[in-house]
Amino acid sequence: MKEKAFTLFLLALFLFFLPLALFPLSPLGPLGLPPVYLYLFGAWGLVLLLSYLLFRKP
Amino acid sequence: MSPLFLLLGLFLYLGLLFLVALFGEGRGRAWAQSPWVYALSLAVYATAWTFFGSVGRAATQGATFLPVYLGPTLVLLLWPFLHGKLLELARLHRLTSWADYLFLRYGHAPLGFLTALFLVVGLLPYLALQLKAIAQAFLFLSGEEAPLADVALPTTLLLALFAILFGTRRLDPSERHEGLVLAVAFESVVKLLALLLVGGAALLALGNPFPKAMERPEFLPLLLPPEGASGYLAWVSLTVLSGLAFLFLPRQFHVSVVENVNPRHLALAAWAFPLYLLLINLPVVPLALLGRLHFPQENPDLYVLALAQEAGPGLALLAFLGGVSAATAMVIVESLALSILVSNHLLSPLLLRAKALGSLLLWRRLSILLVMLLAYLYFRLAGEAYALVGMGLISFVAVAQLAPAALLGLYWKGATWQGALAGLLGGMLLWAYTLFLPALARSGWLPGVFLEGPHPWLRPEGLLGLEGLDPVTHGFLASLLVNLALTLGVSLYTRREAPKEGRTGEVAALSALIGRVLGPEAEEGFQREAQGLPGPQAAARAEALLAGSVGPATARLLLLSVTERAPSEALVEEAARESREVRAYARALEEARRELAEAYERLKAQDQAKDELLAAVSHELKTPLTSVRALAEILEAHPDLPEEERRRFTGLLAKEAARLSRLVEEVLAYARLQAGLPLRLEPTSLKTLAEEALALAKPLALEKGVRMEVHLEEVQTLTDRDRVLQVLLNLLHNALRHAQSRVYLELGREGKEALFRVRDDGPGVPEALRPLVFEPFQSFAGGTGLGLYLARRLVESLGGRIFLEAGEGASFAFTLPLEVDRADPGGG
Repeated sequence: MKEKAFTLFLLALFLFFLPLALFPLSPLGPLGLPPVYLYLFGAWGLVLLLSYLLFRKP
Repeated sequence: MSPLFLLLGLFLYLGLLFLVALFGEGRGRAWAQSPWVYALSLAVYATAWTFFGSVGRAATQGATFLPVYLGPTLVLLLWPFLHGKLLELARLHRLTSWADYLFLRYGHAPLGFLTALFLVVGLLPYLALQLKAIAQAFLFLSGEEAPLADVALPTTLLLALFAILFGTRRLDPSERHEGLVLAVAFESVVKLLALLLVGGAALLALGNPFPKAMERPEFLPLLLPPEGASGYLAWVSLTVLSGLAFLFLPRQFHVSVVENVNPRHLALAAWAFPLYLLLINLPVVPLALLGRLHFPQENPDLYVLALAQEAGPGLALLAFLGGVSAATAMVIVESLALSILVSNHLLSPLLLRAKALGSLLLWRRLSILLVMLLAYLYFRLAGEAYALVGMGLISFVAVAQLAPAALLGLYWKGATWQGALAGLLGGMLLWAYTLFLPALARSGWLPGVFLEGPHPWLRPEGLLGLEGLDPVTHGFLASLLVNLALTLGVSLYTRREAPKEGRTGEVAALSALIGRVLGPEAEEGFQREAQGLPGPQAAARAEALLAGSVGPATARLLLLSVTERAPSEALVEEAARESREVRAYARALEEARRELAEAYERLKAQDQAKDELLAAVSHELKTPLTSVRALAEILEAHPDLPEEERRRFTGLLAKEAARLSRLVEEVLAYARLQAGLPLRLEPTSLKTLAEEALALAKPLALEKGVRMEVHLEEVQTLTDRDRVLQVLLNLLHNALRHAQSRVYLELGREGKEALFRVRDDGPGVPEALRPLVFEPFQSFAGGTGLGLYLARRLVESLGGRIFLEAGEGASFAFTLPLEVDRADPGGG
């Protein structure tokens, strides 16, 4: 499990530290919501889902 | 809203909190020990900063409020490496803080002392932040104009009372505080629900703020990622800083390590706690935008309350209580954790010198009060000049200074106490220079030089002339880099000290010491636990027990009086090695003695067998010899015997001589067998061998008038033909002697063996004697008693078996292997 946890950590690091300023993001995106927050909460949710799947059976 | 109404709400809420804590210490103990409560107790991380400050930061700086929550998410993904190891160490040594760990790892008391002192100073801004939040919220909702301090002081005293009541009932802080944990978990639920409800109600009442924000150009930066390299660097730094703070904040150590009842709870907390953080942050951006749209002149830290008030007094009170719950949970646990630090690393050594260790619990309670009053003082000095988040981040940078010494200590054997001390001192000085002193200067309590520095290159918020970084990112990077460099560099140039000598002591003396310091209950517990433990282990156990209550340095000093130096590991190892050698030598001696005894028994048995053989052979020889002698004397004394009588006597003489000859041959065969002559293996036709034996036995068969019947198959094998012939002759002579009319010889294959069978139609072997027929000197029909015994030994030496079959007459059979694999190549 340690290897998987570390891999997930690296994935989370990549998702959270992606330099979003380099992408042409507009202030408002799908559903009338800002893409930067959609991305950040989406990435966060994905990491949580994966950690739930990884850690649910200790 | 009426101040009285608010005060009533506040006191009712605190009363409810007391009840929850009491429930947790009584009937609700099982609840308090559940994994969900553990995960919720970690949410003590989300303070008034989260509840009020995040909205304030989102309203002014956009997405930069989020890294504070992404950091802990990242750290918890590494729990199998970090928290797992930490829990194991804490359980073994009863650690109550990172300062305990640093003392345990580096064995240097000033390190623990310095850490404790620094954390108290470093966390004062953070505690002050909570007091400010409660006071600010109270004054905003009540509409009063009184100074913030007027409300903050009674709040401070009330929270100190709560922490004293539920955190310092016993001396041992490493024991669980189920009531406190359940109250903290309850507060986590309250603040989450309150913020979600305020967010939902504000959205329903005021509508979606995002399209409106698009129409205001000044709002657009709030909806975009941080700009430029400095913005990105601040994002990354804040995430790392928050992760480190989550790991090193004393209250987080307390709830995640000290209050942990089961390490498996971490697996659930690793996703449930970040999920909590995600949920509590969902309404932050909408609230921030709605606040700026509808209350542009208001303090952004108060948007949550302003929007809740807009929705009605009920929701305003809920928002107020949500903020109060966020602040009180943090204050209670943090002040408790800091008081343990103070009492273990600052007070205990002093009280030990003053021989007043018995009053430690009182001093711990007083230290909670002292910490709270110091926080109040900081709030009075600097609190009103800073936003909530700004104050919290100064504390975050302070606790992050523990990271190099602690993490390198956990994973790098080369880290030394000199390196840890140098790093910690360097980090602390830079933290004070770049963040703490400028904060006081900005509040007007220190002169402006603390903001500008003595030289442009030494400007506290822009060292080496650095421009463009926000003060927190700058202070964090500068202090942590210097700290890390010093820890690594000094450790590389200093030698790691040999581990401290172990101590050993009598259980009785150790128990008495524990009784004196921790009371009779702890003494009895220790006696039960240490019964039968060796001295060094009992001393280590006692040290861990004492360290949990009075701190590791004082525990070590206390132990000196009742223990003595344990033998060094090298000495113990040498003794163990010698002991192992002696044991091996003793085992070898015992083995040799056993082999000698067995050889003696074998010799004795052989000697006895030889004596028995001699007696039997003498007896067997005596009978025919006597007959021969008597017959010879008769023939000599009576030369005139009739011819017929003389022939009868000479016939008898020949018969007895033949019997003597057979007896001597069998004895010689037995002697050869005993001498262990080697086998002479050669390819042999067993059918030819059987025919040869039949030819040799034929005279006896003719003499006895017995018919020989044969059934022989062609069988070839590698064997000693003389031995097989001797066995066949023995069996055939036996059969001929006992047969009435016929003897049957059979040779065939059975599996991987050749089978000989010799059967006669005589009376057979009596049932009672059947087990003895192959034993030596067991003669049932006047023979030597050696024939069948010899046959058995010879067959076995050839790798075969011989046995007596059931049925009428006597039927002896023996086998020989067709594939030769003998265990006894020497024969005999």
